[in-house]
Amino acid sequence: MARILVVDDDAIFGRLTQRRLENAGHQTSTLDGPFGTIAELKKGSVDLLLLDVRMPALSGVDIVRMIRSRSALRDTRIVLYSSLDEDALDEIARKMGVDGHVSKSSGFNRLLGVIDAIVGGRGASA
Amino acid sequence: LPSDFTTLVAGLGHDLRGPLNVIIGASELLLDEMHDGAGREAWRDDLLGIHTSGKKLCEIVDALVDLARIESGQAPVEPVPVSLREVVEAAAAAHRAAGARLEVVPAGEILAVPVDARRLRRALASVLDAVIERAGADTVTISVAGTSITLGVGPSAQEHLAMDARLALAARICARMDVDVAWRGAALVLTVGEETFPAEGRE
Repeated sequence: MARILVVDDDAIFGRLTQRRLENAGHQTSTLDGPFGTIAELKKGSVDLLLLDVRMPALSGVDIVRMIRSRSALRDTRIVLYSSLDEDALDEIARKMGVDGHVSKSSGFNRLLGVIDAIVGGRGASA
Repeated sequence: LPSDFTTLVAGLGHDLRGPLNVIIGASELLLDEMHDGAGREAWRDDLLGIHTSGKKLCEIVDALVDLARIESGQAPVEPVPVSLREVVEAAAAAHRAAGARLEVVPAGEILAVPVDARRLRRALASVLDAVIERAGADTVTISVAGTSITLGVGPSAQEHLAMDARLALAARICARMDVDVAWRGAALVLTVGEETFPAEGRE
């Protein structure tokens, strides 16, 4: 079980992801957009951040930069979760050096596999 | 907004996959939970999510096909003189019937303008869907004056709408009808252009 913060500006999809993660045994909280992510992480009760990429005002990439620039949050485990083209998502994930990335179109079991690999300490793979 | 059709279509992947992922994810979740009887209280929200996402996809596909037909010359625009108030009321009526909070405000003299009314009504309906989705419980105000239709949109909704494929497609279709779609502050303004409706021809 991991404590997962889901950040997605698509509120319907975010809540859906939250329920599916909880059904899989994880503990979750959600934000319907990027604002408040840093404050939530600072509480220290998150094992993994599941982060959408394409969001208005502040993208997932912006959020990753903000996290990595803060020493207290630098080690936050981050998985990018997006409807972007897989090639584009691969490229963003590689550049940002996140722990994992999953296309929203690739199926929920794949997301679970990536999360389990990361929180289980077996390393990240997408 | 993308200026050519190919660029527009190339950028649609995210907007098509987004609602599809909701449809697939919510239906999978329903199937799982119906099997073991859990989560019953959320099923209505899941079905609403599927319905909303299906409608959104349908709008994008309809607009995409219409745009392709316009640009290929298969279905050219057909302007006829029409009151913008009638176009707006027709688009608003369908949304009101669906429970949306909409207020149409005459903001000055309303002219009869030559425009493809059917297409403008569809484009406006699509824009309204996107605006209403982001407005939440707020009432959306539409003012009509002269040759312009103005939709009041909050700054937060504006940021979301700038990334919405429905708006990009509607704007492109409007451009083919010589209807300019532009942000003016926090308002979205549709204006019948000079080419279709030159100032010297106005009453």
